Amino acid sequence: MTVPLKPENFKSLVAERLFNPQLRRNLSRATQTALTKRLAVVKDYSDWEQRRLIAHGIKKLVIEHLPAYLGEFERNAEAAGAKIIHASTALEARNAVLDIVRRYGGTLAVKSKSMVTEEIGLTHTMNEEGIETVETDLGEYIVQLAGQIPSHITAPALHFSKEEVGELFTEKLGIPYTSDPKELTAIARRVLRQKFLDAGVGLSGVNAGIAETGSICIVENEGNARLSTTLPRVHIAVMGIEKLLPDMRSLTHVLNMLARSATGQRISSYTSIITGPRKTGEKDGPDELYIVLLDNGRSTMLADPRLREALYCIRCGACLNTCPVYQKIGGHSYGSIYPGPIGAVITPCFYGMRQARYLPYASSLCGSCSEICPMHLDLHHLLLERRRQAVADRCTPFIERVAMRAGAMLLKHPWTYRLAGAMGRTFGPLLADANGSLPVPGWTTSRDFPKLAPHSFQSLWEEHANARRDA
Amino acid sequence: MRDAMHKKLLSALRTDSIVKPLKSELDALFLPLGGGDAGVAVDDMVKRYCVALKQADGEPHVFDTREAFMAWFVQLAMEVNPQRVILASDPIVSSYMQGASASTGLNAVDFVHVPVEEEGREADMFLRRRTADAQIGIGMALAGFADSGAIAIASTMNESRALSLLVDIHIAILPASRILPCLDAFANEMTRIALDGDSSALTIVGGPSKTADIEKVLVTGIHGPGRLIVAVMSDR
Repeated sequence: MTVPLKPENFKSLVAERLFNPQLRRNLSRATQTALTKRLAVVKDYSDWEQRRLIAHGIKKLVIEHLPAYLGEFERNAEAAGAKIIHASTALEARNAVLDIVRRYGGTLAVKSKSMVTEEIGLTHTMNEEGIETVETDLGEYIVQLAGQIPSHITAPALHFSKEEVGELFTEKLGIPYTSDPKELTAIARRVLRQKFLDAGVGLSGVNAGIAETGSICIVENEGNARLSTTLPRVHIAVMGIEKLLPDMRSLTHVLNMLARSATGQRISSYTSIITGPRKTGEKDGPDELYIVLLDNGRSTMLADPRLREALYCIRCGACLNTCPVYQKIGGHSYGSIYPGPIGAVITPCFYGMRQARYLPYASSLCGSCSEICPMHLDLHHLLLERRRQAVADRCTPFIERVAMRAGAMLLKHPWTYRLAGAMGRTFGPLLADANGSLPVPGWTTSRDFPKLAPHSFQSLWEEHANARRDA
Repeated sequence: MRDAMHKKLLSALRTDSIVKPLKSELDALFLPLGGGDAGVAVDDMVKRYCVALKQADGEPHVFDTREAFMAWFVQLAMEVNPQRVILASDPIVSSYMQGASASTGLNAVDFVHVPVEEEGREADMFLRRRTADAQIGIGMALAGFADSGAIAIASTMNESRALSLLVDIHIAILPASRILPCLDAFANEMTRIALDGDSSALTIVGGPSKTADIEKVLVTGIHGPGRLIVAVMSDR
């Protein structure tokens, strides 16, 4: 049973979270630590800015020629023995996976951390269909045991204290209580090791597909992805179609930046590059490898030249850590699998603009996300574009649209502008509250309306000019 | 399904062309990065490598003879008291571990060699079960990367994936001459390995298995080996 995702609950979730001191402390500590660690290893490269531009250039090449690179990837993956499946929607992808699992008579599946599988709701569906699907990433495992959703791209159980984890394990696993992270980790290792050994199917996402060789690359620190993709007889990998890179040189370039941006490591503990199922002579590995290529709205983003860039994202989570809004409200507030700045840009694709309408506005447009993004995404302009779309789709409040339209009219002609100013100066003091701020419904609950100057600039200028002329 | 997806992508890009850009266009993107660390002395590379691996919570050791390596391994075995050790059948591993079972202090250890010949699914499952109960796995590193301290390993007929995955301690033997400045220098080899058809799994191992999912407290050995030991052999 998972908490349903509802980006439209943003406002109420934020109100709750802003006033939770424990959450604020956890978030602050976690994000600041992540930022500090990142800086320490970014310093390895005096040409970091150059590298960002190169990474951007590589993805631009791929995305602008996606059909060609996708075709090359498919051919090479199939030549290596993998089976390719195309899924336009989340439903098609889930059905494809279920179909494969049923064909092999699987009843137990192990799953490594994968945002795309959460995006399509795979685990929930599989468990409902009677296939026990175990999340094996420690944070995801904790979250699954508790029946919740993850709160951060790279640290899913950030919101749990060690005592809460201890209680959870005692309740669900029947072990004596402990809150020592080392002991809790050892318990999880033991319990999950048996699942890996017994499972008939292993599920994973894909960090990058390599077109030149048909390989898939999976990056992790725990080892659960390696286990999930080694021990079971069947490995099913779900890959967003935008996750392609042309060749290994491009892969190493991006890998140099991924771990540094995500966790402040030079490289993750395990970067697996898998090319087809096991070969003759190999001692282990899956007999079958299926790669499910997923669209699910990506082609829609591809079709919009102003949003296409969002497809370059490598899901490092750096934009979350640096965002002053995310730092205060945390991931759950966004009500989406993808939180933070990048989440605000791509969530409308999966939920529609109406449901996700608050997210592009959950930003001061400070641009910190754009500065930190290793792929040089112009995130704050992408957010602005989403705002433009929200207005065009009539997803912003009616009053706001009227006020903006009125404001535009007033600013169109000098005489309307002067008239508005004169009226504001005359009637403003009569309407102002104790602080001298005009009460604008909704807008001024958390801001002051700027005080109007006693004289307009134009009148001061005229006065000044007259004084000089007369002097 | 395939045609429908490709058609959609072509229409999204408002094009009919499925022509890839020239390789030269892609290669040109990397020009600003320049040459790199060509011509760095091996000794310096070994030093840099060891510093980087330590920073990643790995354990580098440098040996200049087989005897030195074996003496160290006997010490480790006394400390850890392994019941079983899985050995890759790579000739280099075999040469360093030759006669190990006869060494004092190692008589009680069950040394299992990865069988080289194709022996079918049952033999593979048998090997897997034995590896699952092994404390130490000793395999080869195809390369080392001085900037990160990482190594490249591959599943081959000599070395199973499980050897470096199911055990508690993974020992990788890395000839010093195989240390490269960075991962980029290995890209061509990565392509060759992927296209050759002998190995389906190449893994870049950057440290022990680790997680900080509980209150950001770093813990090693969550799913994979809790210790990554790299034995740098300076005599090769």
